[in-house]
Amino acid sequence: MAGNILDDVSSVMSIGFDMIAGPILRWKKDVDTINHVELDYDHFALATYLAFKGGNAGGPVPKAIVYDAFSVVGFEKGMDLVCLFLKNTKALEDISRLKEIATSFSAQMDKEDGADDQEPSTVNTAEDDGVKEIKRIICNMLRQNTLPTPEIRSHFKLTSSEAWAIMSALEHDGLVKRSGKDGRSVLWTLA
Amino acid sequence: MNTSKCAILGSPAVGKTTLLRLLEGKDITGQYIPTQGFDRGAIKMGRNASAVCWDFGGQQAFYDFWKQYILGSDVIVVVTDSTPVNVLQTKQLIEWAKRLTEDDDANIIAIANKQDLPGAMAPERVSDVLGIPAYPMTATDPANQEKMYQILKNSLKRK
Repeated sequence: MAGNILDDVSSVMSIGFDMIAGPILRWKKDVDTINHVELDYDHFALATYLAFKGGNAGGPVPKAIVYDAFSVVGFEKGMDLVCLFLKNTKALEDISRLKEIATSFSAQMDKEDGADDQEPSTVNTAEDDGVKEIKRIICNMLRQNTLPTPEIRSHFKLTSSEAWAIMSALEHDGLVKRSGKDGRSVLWTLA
Repeated sequence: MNTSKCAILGSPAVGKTTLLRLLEGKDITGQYIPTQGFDRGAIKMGRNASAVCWDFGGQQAFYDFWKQYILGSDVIVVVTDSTPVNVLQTKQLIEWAKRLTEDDDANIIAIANKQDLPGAMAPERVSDVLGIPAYPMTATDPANQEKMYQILKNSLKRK
């Protein structure tokens, strides 16, 4: 049964949320390289993200959206949304198994992304308008809140060294401070 | 019932949703949760009047929504977090909103939010830079609900 459901998955996409750009297609993989859906995934990502997560008002959110030729099931992972493209609606009968599959692909994506949190020995402190805007938003995000470096990094399409450069500069300016550790990751808060 | 339309615009994380929640008298957590697309809230403005406030997500991907949905606004509330970097960004945003809504003759005001934070620009200075009236605000403080309500009410009167 489990294998059958995986056969019904044609593609996987992970949609991230960049704090400056908004929803972005972060990762995509065609599981079935022959029978996958041909569409503009970048454009589709925004509409899909809003359909599954739109608004702040609460209330019911869909588990799946059925189109003429395929279905999409979406699972939240923090601010991200992991979507499976299904060839038919039969697979929707086992949402928990689909969630397992989505989790497995998500782990694969994280691995490929190389999400580590090792503090580099040197950091590039070059600053442009984009970096200034990221710093401004980070300070607002850390108000009455703590966040680990990898999560901050994922909110801004940053590499590990870029994230560290920005956090180190903010720390140097006395705007943020380290408030502890979450596993191997440094937790940050407003100074 | 006389219903007005209010659009709340601004960069990410400046406090647009908090401002709407303040007007609605809802709980304010102070934590930043980005608005996905947009939200709407209805504010009662006296016996036979109300204002529907559209709170737009500040991320670039949502600008297309702004274009479509701010048309017909009676008042556009542009929010800044009162940092020098953001006030300059907000100036560009106001020019863009003016061009987009020139047929509507919408009243545009600025909210100089986060006045409680160190280094916040004074509202007079924000107003000078932006070229529109700027009102000081700390939207996370529920005590400012009446003040914000009066700002909105007066802005609608001036139309």
